[in-house]
Amino acid sequence: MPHSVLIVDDEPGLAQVLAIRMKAAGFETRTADGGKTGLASVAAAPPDAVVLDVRMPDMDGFEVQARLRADPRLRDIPVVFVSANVQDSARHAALAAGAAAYLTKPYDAREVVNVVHAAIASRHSDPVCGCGTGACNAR
Amino acid sequence: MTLPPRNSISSDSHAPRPSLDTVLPARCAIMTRVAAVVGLVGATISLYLAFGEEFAPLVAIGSGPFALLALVAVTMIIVAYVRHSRRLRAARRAADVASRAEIERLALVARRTTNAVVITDVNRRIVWVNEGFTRITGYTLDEVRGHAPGSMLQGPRTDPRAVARMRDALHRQEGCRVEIANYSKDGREYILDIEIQPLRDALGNVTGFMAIETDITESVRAREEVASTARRLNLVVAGADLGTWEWNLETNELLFNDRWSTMLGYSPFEIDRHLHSWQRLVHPDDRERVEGVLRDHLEGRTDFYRADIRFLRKDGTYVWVLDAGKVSERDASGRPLRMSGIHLDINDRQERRELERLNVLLADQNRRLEEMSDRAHRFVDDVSHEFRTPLTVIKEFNAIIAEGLGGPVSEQQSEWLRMVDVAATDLNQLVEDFLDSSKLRAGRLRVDRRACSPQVVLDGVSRRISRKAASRGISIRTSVDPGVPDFFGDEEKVRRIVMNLVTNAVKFSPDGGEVTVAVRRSGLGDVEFSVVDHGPGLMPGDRKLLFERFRQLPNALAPSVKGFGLGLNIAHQLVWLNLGAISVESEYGKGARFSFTVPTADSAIVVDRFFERLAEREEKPERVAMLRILPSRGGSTTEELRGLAVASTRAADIVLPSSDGTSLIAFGPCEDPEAWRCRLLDRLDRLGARDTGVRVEVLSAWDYPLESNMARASIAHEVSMEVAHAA
Repeated sequence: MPHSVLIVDDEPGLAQVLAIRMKAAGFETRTADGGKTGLASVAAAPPDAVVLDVRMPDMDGFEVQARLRADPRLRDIPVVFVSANVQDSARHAALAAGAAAYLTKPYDAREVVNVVHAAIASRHSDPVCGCGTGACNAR
Repeated sequence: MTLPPRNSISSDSHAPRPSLDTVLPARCAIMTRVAAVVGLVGATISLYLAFGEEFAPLVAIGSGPFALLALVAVTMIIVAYVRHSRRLRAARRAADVASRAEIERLALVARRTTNAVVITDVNRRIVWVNEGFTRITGYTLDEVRGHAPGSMLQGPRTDPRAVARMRDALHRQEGCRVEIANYSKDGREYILDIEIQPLRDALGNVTGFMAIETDITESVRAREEVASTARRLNLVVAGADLGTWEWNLETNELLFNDRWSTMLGYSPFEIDRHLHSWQRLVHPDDRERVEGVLRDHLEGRTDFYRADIRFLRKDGTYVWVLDAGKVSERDASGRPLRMSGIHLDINDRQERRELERLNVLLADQNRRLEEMSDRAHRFVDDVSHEFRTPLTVIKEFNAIIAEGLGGPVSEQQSEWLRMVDVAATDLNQLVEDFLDSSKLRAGRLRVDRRACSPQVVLDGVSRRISRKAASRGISIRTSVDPGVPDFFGDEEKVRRIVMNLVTNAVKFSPDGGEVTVAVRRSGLGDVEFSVVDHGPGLMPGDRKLLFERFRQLPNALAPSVKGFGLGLNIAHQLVWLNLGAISVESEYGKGARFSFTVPTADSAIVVDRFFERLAEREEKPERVAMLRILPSRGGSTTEELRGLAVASTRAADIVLPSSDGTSLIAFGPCEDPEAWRCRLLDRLDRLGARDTGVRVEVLSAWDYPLESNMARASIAHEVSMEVAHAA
């Protein structure tokens, strides 16, 4: 069963580029054009990973991540940030808040695909997985 | 002349005494008359005696009819004489009564006067003094009679010149008037105004002297006090370098001292003593303000007039003067009549104030410049951000099309798509350069140094540049010598350095050329990256300018190469931040070899390189300190904290994991370790808002500059004991 990825970016061009790349790499992809619709999409069906833009008009990526972390069912979903903000402080803040990766634009979409792959793999091999049943690994 | 006997001029010693000096001339006239009366009596007696002498021979020779005749004659004479003498006695009685009244009045005056009256004989021995004398001097008449006044009354502060003047005048038997200090019986000093007149008899011979003495001690003291006050005031005015002025508001006459005019560069006679002089010299810009202040005072709304005024000097410059004063006289209706005050040169003070004002302005200007600089940096950030999104879309769709994900692509289309990619990559590079350069200049670039693999860096570079290089048939060859250890640095920044050097090499390489990127161990044991091209090389003398910002050196062998000249400058600064050194070797016409070093991940070497960089800094710190950053329990992991710590420290600071892996060690320059600790904690709190409870403690601090290389080695040792060796 292919892993599912939710791509949240208010720039449709970028969301589409990533969706094409992810699809070509075998992922099942969905897109959302903002933080709120992204959260709704996650709530409807939790994906295996979320690619999050940082700067979005309705709700920024950090806020989306914080909300995911606050929900026990969703807190372990790996988050990969893609941002045009190359400020080191933003990168460090994102990583400190538990992001799997922080990539800056312009990114190589193939790199994003690799990072998402790695994030899902590392989560599934995580011995302290929250469910404790091994079901996560089977997924 | 004989002195009038006391009982003859006074019948009543208890009568009140009018002031003598007011009646002195009258008194002298009376004296003369007394003498005349005495003289008249004397003459009558002489006549009588003359008759008596004549009668005797007549009586002696008189007999017979002669005797009868003589008897009749004698009888007639006797009768006539008796009648005559009666008349004389009557006249004398009348004169006595008149003069006695006058003399009584005189005596009254002499006794009652508050002044001292002294009468001496011609040898200046006292024959009489009044009660005023006794009151002033304490001596009674009995005590002083027969003495010379000077011997009794003069003392240490008696002016010898006054004494001499007095003596000379008396010697010449003339009157005189002197002021002189005398001493009373009990030693009290007093000052007398003495007027001495000679006393003369009817024939004009001097028979003695009369002195009338007024005690002027109080008025002299008052006069001296006034003089002393004036002297002190003059000293103050001169000492304070004050100009003084007095303005008569009825006539507008303006009086001033010399300093008032010299302060303005004029001699005292060059300025008209009228108010219009003052008005003319006041700076036009100050006039309205000053007149307002003056009006307020004249109309009684302020207690003082006080204004800083610029006055026109004779040489055409202006001088700042403090003009202060007060109305000194008003009429019954309160209208000011007279006003006086001072001028004080406050040019220095005003210049200081002006400097202070300029300093404030400058500080304000600096603040605004900083704000503008901040805005400019934010603008660059924003512009870069706005460029990145469309660039990414362009590049990514370009790649998707080129890879055939959207359908088959012809060879010609593939070539065109490659050109789009190269242009987009160049554009991206420019944006990155601007952003990095801007952040480097602002000192905002953080450096996250850790152990990194050189191979990973080279792989990243190849992936990014290969397509661009391939478009011109340039091959990029990379190699890492076996056994090269990990380096200590910021992987992303080191990749940017290599990227910039390779971009530069590709830019100057001929089509179909080759660029070699190699990593090896340097002679000093550092990790050395080198980029070699076979382009035109550098002209001699260009090396110094090579790393300057916005410096694109003209090169005759590569005239078509263009750029902003940021790449090498950025590379240079990034190398510096990574504790390394950059250099270039080139022979004109035969290509160039750029190389830079970064330290290996050995904490002792890292500390050593840190001190080398510190020595190169223009601003030297006072101390170097080592802090420990501890995560809160249940908060971020050490690795997560590391990101925060790097973002919270400065580019010069080095952050390393501690030897036991439970905390971080920050090592850096500072003025005060405690202040650094607080600042760091504050920034950590702000950035890591979701992770409160982070602690920071000061582990060690050393004074800088260090005393010796030994000290440097010992610090390096101390730091390496604290940090993880695997770092």
